[in-house]
Amino acid sequence: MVEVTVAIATSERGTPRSRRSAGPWRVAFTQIAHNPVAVGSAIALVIIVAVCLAAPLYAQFIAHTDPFQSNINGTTVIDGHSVAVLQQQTQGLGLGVEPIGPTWNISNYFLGADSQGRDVFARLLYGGRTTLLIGFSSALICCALGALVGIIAGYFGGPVDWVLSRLMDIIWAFPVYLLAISLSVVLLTGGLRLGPIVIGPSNLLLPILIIALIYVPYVARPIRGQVLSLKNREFVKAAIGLGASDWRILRIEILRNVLPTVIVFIPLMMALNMLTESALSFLSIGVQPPNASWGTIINDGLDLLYTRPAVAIAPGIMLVITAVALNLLGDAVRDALDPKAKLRGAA
Amino acid sequence: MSETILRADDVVKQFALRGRHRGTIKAVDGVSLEVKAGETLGIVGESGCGKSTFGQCLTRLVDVTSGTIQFEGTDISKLSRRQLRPVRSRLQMVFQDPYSSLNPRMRVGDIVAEPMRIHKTGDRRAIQARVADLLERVGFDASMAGRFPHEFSGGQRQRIGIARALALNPSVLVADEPVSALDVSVQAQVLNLLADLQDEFGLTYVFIAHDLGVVEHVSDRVAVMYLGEIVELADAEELYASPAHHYTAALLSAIPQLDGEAEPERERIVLTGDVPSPANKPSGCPFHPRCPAATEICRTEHPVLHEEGGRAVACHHPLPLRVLSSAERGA
Repeated sequence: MVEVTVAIATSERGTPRSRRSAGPWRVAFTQIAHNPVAVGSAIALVIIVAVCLAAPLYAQFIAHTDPFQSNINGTTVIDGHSVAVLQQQTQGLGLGVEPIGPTWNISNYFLGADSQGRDVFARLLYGGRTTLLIGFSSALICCALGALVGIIAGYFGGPVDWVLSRLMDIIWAFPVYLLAISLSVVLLTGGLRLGPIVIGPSNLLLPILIIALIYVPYVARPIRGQVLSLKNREFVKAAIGLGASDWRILRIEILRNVLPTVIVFIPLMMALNMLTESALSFLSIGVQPPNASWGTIINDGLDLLYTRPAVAIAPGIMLVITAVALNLLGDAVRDALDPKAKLRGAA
Repeated sequence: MSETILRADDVVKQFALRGRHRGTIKAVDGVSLEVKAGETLGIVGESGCGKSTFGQCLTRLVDVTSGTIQFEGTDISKLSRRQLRPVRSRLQMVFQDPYSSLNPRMRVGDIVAEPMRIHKTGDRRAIQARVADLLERVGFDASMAGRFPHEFSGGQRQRIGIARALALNPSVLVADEPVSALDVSVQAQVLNLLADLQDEFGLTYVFIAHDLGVVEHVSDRVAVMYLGEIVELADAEELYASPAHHYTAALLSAIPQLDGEAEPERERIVLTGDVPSPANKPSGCPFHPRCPAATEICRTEHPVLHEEGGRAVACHHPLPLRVLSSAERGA
């Protein structure tokens, strides 16, 4: 739309067609689109997200199962025989039960059952929904919050900077997992009550907010540093000299130059946050039942590690693929948006 | 020449030092001067003499510690940012580093349009037309508006910066070393453009530089700064032909001369020592530790800038003035 109006406006003045250069965003996008690793990672991510989003369809129409319902006494049909989902263990000490293993039949316990007789593959897809949702939304919140804190601290400086920087220091002073575990343990027992806002213990918002909060300094610090150096560039002085308001300078001179850095952080933070979520869920202080996540499924599979390793390994593989794809994509985005970062890394 | 348009009175700019060397630095230490409408006033001095800081005081990019700055009859030294807004459109600045003075994320057309958008001088169509005018005025095709700064060379970027400074029809331009970052061949181009614009729009320039050759070329009057103070102020021709202050003489002797040049050969005066830190200024005359003519009085008594016949010099033992012959005057 914009391009069209510009072309009309210039042709009215009788000058040749506007030679409008491709903007930095388009240049970056083109570069990413020509990077096979980035494209491959993006496709893998799209497939993973699409498949996980389709989890309810799979459960209802293909597997005909409820992945959140225990199925301890259920039976299923394999090779024409009716088989109990959980079989009494006869070997070894003869204690406990052994769920059926992978059938490699997409419509029937593809990856077998867990210790409660639930379809692992269906749970894997549902768990992916949760893990991806938490990873992605907490990364977005974290980057937005980090950018806000970094920009305000860097631009206004003085006491504002001091207060915000000390806040970041306090968060940073704790080992990430220790802080996450402490917050989770406290918040997950009672939920969060902030005046009229009540977030229940099993609400996904809790892990999202906890994970977003603990990583804010990782984004805020570099952004603050960048804003400090931008503030001394002459184009910011020129804007002051033109009488621009703080708001305008922040929006046009600062934010436009900081935004690429923020965007570079997003995929990398998504991978990091997803892994953090899984770690917390593995420790039973992340996602709470009846929700599943890749971390909780790994936890479920812990007891079955020797007999039915697929239960723990499958979500592990999914985590690795997603995290690697996000990191590869993030590197490509960084190379495209911030070419100097690569040089700095090499130096 | 005509009336005073910009007048600085005893302007002081202090910076607080933090950390181990606690204290204050007087980057600008009581500078007074007048700029007359339509002239070009050159300000020269070594790096760190406070000339750039003084330029930023004049345009109120930094706050002034004390003293007053009168611009078009009103004191702007104590105005708030909001109150300064109408002044900004009449008093603009051209920056030193063309690679840092243009926002890399904005198209050239938006950069030049920004002043008009800030001051809401017209609707989109009017601004667009004005941008095209300005770009053409500084030697670009209007179609360049869609490009980004990185697609231009240093000299071209400096011209874009000049177009931006001109957008609001200012009366005074403070140019802070506008050509020192440019190749010599491009310097002339930008200087000629500035001269053309001055003729066309009746602009007044405050031209800050460390290169006396450039200043001689463009200035009507020249002020020489040393350690935050003006040590000599005179007509450009007179100052170059017959400097009164020993520091000025030393600076002039450092200009490379070509063999066979019409000017009388100058003796090279080599200054000893470094510029003292402005945090620890010498007593008496700030120049005395390096001055070849320093005597006891220079160490104890601070010389004041006193004017005589249109020339001002702050020295206890000024050099004798050579009267310019009419031939030299005409040159």
